[in-house]
Amino acid sequence: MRTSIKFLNRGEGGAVEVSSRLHEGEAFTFGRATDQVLQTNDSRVPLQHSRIVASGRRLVLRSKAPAQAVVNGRTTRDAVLEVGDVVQLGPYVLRVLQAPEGVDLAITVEEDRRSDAKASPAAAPALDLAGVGLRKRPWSWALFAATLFLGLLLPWAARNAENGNALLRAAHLPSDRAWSSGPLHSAHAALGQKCESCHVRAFEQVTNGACLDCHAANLHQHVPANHVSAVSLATRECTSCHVEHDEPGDLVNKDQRLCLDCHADPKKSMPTVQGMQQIADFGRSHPQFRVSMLDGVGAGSAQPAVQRVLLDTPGLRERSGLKFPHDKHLDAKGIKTPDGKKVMGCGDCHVATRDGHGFEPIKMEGQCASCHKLEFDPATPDRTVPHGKPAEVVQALIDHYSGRYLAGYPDRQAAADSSRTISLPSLEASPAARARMLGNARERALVVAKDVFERRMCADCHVVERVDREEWRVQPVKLTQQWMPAANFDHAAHGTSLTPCSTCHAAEKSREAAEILMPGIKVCRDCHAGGDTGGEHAGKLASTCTTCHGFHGATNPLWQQPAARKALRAGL
Amino acid sequence: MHQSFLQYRGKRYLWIGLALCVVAVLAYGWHAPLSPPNGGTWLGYTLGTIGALLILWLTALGVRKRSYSSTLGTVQGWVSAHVYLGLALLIVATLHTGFQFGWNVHTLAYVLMVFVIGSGLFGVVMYLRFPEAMSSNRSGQTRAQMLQEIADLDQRALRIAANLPAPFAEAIGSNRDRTAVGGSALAILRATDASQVSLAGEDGVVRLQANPAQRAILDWLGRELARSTDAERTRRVDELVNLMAARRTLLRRIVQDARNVAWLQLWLYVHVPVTFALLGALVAHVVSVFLYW
Repeated sequence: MRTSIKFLNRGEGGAVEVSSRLHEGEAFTFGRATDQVLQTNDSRVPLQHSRIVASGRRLVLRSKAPAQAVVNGRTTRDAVLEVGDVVQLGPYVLRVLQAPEGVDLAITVEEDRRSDAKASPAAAPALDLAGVGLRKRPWSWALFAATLFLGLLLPWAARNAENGNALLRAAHLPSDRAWSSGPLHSAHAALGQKCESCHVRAFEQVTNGACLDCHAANLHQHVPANHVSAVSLATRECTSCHVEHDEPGDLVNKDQRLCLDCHADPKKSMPTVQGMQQIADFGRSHPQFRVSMLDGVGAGSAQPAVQRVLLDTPGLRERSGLKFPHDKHLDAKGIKTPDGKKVMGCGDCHVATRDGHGFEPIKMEGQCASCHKLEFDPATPDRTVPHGKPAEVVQALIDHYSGRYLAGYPDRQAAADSSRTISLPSLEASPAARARMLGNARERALVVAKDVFERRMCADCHVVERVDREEWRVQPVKLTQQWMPAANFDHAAHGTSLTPCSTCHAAEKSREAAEILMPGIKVCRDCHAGGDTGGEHAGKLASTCTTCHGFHGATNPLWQQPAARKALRAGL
Repeated sequence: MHQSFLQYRGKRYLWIGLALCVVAVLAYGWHAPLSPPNGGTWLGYTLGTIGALLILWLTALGVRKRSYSSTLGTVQGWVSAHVYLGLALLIVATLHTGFQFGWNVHTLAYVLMVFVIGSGLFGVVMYLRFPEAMSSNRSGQTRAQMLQEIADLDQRALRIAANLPAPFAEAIGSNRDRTAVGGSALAILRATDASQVSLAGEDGVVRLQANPAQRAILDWLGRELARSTDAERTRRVDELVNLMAARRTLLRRIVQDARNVAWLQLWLYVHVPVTFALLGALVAHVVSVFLYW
């Protein structure tokens, strides 16, 4: 298709400049794209605006939506052009001329002067977020400043001022409490308002000094000053084991790795401490238990020594000075008592302490005396010898019989087997007769004493030694009260109907008091594994070091006692 | 050929981000600290340091995209890494917390970070969704061009209306002056057209009417067209109908375009300011942790 184009360029004075060109191609095209026949840089014009094609003898104009052409004043996208038509395409006005021979389309092209006034709408609508007042930068800096100021600078400044953070809290502003990464343990809850009681200096880790501010007074109640763990407190941080602000919060770290840091190889970690054993896990490598047994009863020292001995030691016997057959007392058929035959149980003598952990001490008066009565004279069944020093017993007997002889009451037994008869009331007797009566009474008392000490009474339970005719020595009984002071064992938690005492203590078959009835580690391991409950230990209770042991050397540390905990919570 | 920032270099940063997550999760699972997991264990410090450095680097995208002369990687590469490593940050920072949260400056920093990452993810979705719709709606034109075209239509319509009775000029003029699109963030985002026009009624009284999508003026012109008995007048009114119909299409496209662009930009108005809030909280978090060690 051949197109003849005449460009009309009107000068200022109205003179028209004409430039012509002849174009050959498939169609006459108009648009902003560079391949268009009539090209404009007007930004309002699409890349392809319109095209005119010769279809037979007709000239057809087509505009590509959304572009529109104006043909003879009419807006359209589709028109058949005639000679003389005026077509407005964007900024151009085209006039269709009579095409000369060999040319399909002849047009003049003139710029539309009126559209030069590219008047924008009076007020361009605000169609951008930035145009309607949304801003990023001011908000960014404001929020940055707000979080930094409220989260850090304000509490920091308040921290350095007297009562500053208290004032902030009163004003419901963020204070240094906003820095707390988690709740405090309930024992420390009272400190929650005063961060500075522990965090004494800025940028410095909590020191032992801060802990000791409150705990110095009671620390050595449960940690002996010379105890290895007490010494270690000086070189270690309390906070390395007692971590606060963590959830789940537990001030006592029960992880056994903490203990094994030192106890896995004590020779290396504690070279100065003698006799510390290697351990890795209760279930796998805990040594046999040692008992802390009172010893030296026989040596006659007033304060028997405590001996730490392995339960496995061959021939290990308790030397408490007591003779006591557990088996006879626990006889299933019963045992003779002043009230008739009775089947006894452990609890008849072993009375639990109030906390349920252990038992009250065994005492003659409390546990034995109700059966083992200290009567000596059938004539006066309510008279007993004192349960005390042997000399006092002898004296009590002499006093008793002197009284009786002087009172003139015949001693039935004495009368039966002796010619010594008392015929007169002592008050009426002559001094010589009274002296004889007293001599007889003393003789009688010594006979009874021998019987009491050596045959029917003391010797039942005690080791008795006769020193001379009038003196006996009775070995005192020193029962071990706490066999395993290094372990925290709760009897109340263990003694159930499923686990009677005999589960751990073979008392029913024990014939002598010297036999040690403390269970060895094997018994515990029936139910308890260590921290590792895998493999053969599957199904057992996981028990780490702290299940039984307290680090600070106490079986029942102060802070675990209900009364102390209450006081700690209330006060501090 | 165009390649999405998500596909950049065979999703290189997706794999790097995933690797970071996997390593962090495995380390967290393997790590058995003496205390409950928290930001203060060695792994906690490690994850925290990685997280803080990531945050600073992610923020640096705002600087990098403005330094046109920089040769420090392409901006597309930066955006790709920004998206994938930003998502990985969520895992790293969550593990850093040890799942311990509270009403404190530390959790504040975490929550702000989650907001930033969430808004960023929203932005990615918008970038996947809108550009195609946007260019098909624009069909090669800019918004300025479309506005200019509307201005031209109005000018032409006014010239035609000048040869018609006065109510026509009033209608066309007020239609031009009372076109109300955009104006508020909500109107832009909802593509609301609150335009009005003052039209003469049967009684000759001019009334202001709502004119969404040029409906009122087109209806009015349609009625006028039906009533016209004069051929010349009919031709002119018909031309006005054509012009206003074109105007409606253009206006709809403009409003739609503004909506598309606004949705494409909206998330940034959360993403950027909250990032700065996060930076403030992050400084407060890091400093306060060591201030009260």
